[in-house]
Amino acid sequence: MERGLTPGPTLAELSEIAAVLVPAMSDGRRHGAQMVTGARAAFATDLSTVYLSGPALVTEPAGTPPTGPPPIGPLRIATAAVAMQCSPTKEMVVAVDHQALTPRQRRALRLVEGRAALAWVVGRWPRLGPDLERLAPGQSPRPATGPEELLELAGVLARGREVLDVPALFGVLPGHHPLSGHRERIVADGRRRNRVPWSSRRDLRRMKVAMPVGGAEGEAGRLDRIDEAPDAEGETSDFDRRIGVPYPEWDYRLGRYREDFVTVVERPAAPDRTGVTRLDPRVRRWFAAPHTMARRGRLEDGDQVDVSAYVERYGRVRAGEHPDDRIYEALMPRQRDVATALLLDATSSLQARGGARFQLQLLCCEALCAAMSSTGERFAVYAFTGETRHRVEVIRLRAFTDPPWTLPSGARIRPSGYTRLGAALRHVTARLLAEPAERRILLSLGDGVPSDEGYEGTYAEADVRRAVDEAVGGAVIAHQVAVGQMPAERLEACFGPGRYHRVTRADDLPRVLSRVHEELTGLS
Amino acid sequence: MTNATHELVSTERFYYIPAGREREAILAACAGDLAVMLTGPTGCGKTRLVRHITATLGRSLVTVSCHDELTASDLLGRYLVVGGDIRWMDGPLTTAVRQGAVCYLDEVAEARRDTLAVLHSLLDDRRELYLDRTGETIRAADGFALMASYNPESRSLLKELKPSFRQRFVTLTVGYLPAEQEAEVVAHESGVGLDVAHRLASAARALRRAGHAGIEPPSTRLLIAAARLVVSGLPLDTAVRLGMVNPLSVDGPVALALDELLVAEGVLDGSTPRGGRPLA
Repeated sequence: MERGLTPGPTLAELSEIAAVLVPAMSDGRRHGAQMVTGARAAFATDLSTVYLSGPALVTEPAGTPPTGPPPIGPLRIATAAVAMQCSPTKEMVVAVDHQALTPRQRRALRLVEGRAALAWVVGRWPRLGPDLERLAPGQSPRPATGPEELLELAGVLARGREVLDVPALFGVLPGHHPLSGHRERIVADGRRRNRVPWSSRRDLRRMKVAMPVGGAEGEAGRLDRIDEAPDAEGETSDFDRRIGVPYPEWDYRLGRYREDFVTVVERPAAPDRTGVTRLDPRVRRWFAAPHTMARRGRLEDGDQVDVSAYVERYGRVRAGEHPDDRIYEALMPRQRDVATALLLDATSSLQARGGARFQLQLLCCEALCAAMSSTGERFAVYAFTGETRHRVEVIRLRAFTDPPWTLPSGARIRPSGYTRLGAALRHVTARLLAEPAERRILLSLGDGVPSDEGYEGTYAEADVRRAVDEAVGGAVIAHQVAVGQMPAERLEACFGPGRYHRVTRADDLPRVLSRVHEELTGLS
Repeated sequence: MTNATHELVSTERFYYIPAGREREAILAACAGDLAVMLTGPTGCGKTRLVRHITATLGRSLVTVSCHDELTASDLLGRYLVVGGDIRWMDGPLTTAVRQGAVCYLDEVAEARRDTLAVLHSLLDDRRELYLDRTGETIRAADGFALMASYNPESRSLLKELKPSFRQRFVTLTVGYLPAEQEAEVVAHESGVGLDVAHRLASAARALRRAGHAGIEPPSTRLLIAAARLVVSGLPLDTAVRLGMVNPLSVDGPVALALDELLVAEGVLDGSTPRGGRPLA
């Protein structure tokens, strides 16, 4: 406020701002925001993420007079655009078959829907009215009650002679927008690897079909994809000498396990011995906080008198007994016998931004490992990826037996592949159970969205839930730190109430992870 | 014992606006010798409700703020050396049981489970407290009531109350007041005009929506703080930022986003954007 002219927020900051605005203005109907750039960028939403067009935010909207009120800043444009994309009219048009409309009809529908959205926004936030008027000049609010009314209005408008210019603020309609980044990457990933598509007829937007062409069971012909020799180094048990470890998978439709259905291959990551940590000091700060402390009594020295011990001593002295002088209490680091296994999601959903999210996961992990090393805890770090049920890869970044200060961040892993979470959880649980400890913690990081061939939706969620229940049944404290936009209800279905923590903004990860770990280990 | 406060019977009826029929519900529970659990977000008026009820009943109130180092002897009492003698000193819970006062356990989910176990015999039809140190069994005096509260949102991970413990309480969910009534409370508590109070209440409504983005909702307490800043002469914009926005978030983009929500809501004037960093 003190400065006259402050530079406006950067696109990255705008993206973070929008990440707060979107859930707030939509009352939780939309979950996140993503900035898009490029010539075809436009405001849009897929009813979960709101896409903000970078170019539309920074350029002056046409028609702003050179004199008169100052131009509307990018921040306010972003607010207005978010408000528009949060409008429930978006839900109305999602079912419209855009292929059946002519280009003019589509433009008319965009206009009509935009006016209805304007009406919703202005009704809710009257203060945004003047800004909206300037951003969408000549457009007046016109509420609509349902998709039929919108289509009817669009039909009338399309039949007229009016020139249909859609203001940038209105954006493009849902359903007309290309697939979300995540799905697109998965599809591209599959193409690159020359994979059989999941289905001959699929509708990725509605996620209707998720079965391989040959049917769920017809994958035997592709077993030869396991072309790498599995790692057996350092492993002595016969169990591990086999090509991969078989695990069952829970089929909720059958109400039973499919025995030996998934193959998990564990391999160590090539260690990086440069010994240089790239840990951001800001990230490290979160984990360097004092360890959980507990008050311990009957000490020789301390910050205050342990009243019970003193009273006892007093009585003994009066009775002529030998006094025990340990009558102080102090805050001491809690002694703990904990084994922690971290499981990172290294699948293609974390490829975005050159794997920046995955790198952040790794760095947080490293900071956490450094903290655990300093308290003498035992811990292991795994990352998982995979391709179909025949090869779920669990990469061992750090084993329980590695010397302290062996940190995982040097490992060069490029996130790729699919998420068969249940099998990875079962494998790490087995590793944890083999570790002697008073308390075992399985901390899993990732977006929490299971996806693999024939492993999606309710089936996958039921299997993950089963795997979590198995871990909990084995007295393992299982907890998911969910990075991304997965709605809380689905996380709860997957991991159970209280066993997950959502991180919607990547920057929150260090804070949340350090707190979650502290609570899980410090639990009394 | 350092965390207990002991209030004598107060003639003042604490200012309280009912959001629903929670007052009647609690009075009915007290009449039936039932323990009451209040759940609700931070600063929505749980403690105020308890104080109001206690004052209405004309009993004294013993408040214990629970934390994870609270031990059973902090509740029950302990031996102390007094002069040349060792004497038993009642803890806050024991005091309330003997005197027939209301014992209020604030943020009960923070307490350890083994500490809470001493309450069990009080919470069923026995209504007795066992002091294992002295071997004494105390029957709860007439008028004794146990109330507890916790915030299900901020409850720390896995620190859940055991179902067997929760089932010993009649549970009442308390929420934020509707904007209209919240404005009245803010006006009463701070002395600010009703128009300003209404604007603050609508600011709170806007900021609570950001709960969907994982941002802690502002409490009525924060609203009152902002209103007091206005009474002390600060402009509304500054008071809202100092009293309501900044306590919820310190980092730049989130604070800017909350500002935008308030601008859209018409509480802040959008033409005076905040500086590069939050006002000190």
